[in-house]
Amino acid sequence: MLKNLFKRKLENQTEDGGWISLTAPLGGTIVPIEKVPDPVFAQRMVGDGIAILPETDEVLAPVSGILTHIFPTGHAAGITTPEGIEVLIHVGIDTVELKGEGFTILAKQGERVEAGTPLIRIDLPKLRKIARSIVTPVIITNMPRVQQLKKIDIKHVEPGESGILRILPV
Amino acid sequence: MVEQSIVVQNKSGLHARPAALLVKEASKFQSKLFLRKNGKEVDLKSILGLMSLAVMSGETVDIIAEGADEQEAITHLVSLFESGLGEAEG
Repeated sequence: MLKNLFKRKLENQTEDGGWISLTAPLGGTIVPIEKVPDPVFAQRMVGDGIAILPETDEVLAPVSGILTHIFPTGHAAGITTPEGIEVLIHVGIDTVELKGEGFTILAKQGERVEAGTPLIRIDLPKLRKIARSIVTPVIITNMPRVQQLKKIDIKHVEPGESGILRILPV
Repeated sequence: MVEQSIVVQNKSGLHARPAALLVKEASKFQSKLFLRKNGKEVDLKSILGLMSLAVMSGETVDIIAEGADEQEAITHLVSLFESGLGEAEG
């Protein structure tokens, strides 16, 4: 009974006037998207969002939805919310080239995840050594579906707790 | 409807950068565009959709176009794939 109530609360993210809230997938320092050292993200070619310089080692789902995508190398995950908003978490820059080194996949592509579900474990000390950057953009990849996007204005976030983005779908 | 098979040659397959480039170019066309691998078909105008196919270098995909400018769309997309999607070939 209690479990059901809790579940319902997690699923019902849109009661706040249609706004969807995303929580931090990792703990760490906020980096503005324009400052991400890769033009594909900095110039918003993939979409708009925010980035985190991680200090924690588990990537959590920032929102409930279907895990549409987990790249086999474990460096990126994508969730589609029930409202059709697509959220991409891309751990580090050019990390596709590491071919999975430093990443352990914890969830299955296609399954339903709740906000806070662990998706990927990252080996932070190793990635700090071998990745070009560990800055992790959290991006809305289908911006035409977004009417309004608000970004938080704080410097440090706690995993699964701090809100990072608020989205009003079209 | 037109479709064409192509071998993906850029070294890291279809991850964020090539997917963003493909969606940007695909969105210039009116036609419905899809990419298919092993029977799974995704919208070529969706970055997350493309990434969910997890296409690796050396794999074969089909581009499918349906609409008024389908021929131009498929010709343009094939040339993008052939040029390595902004990356060196693997």
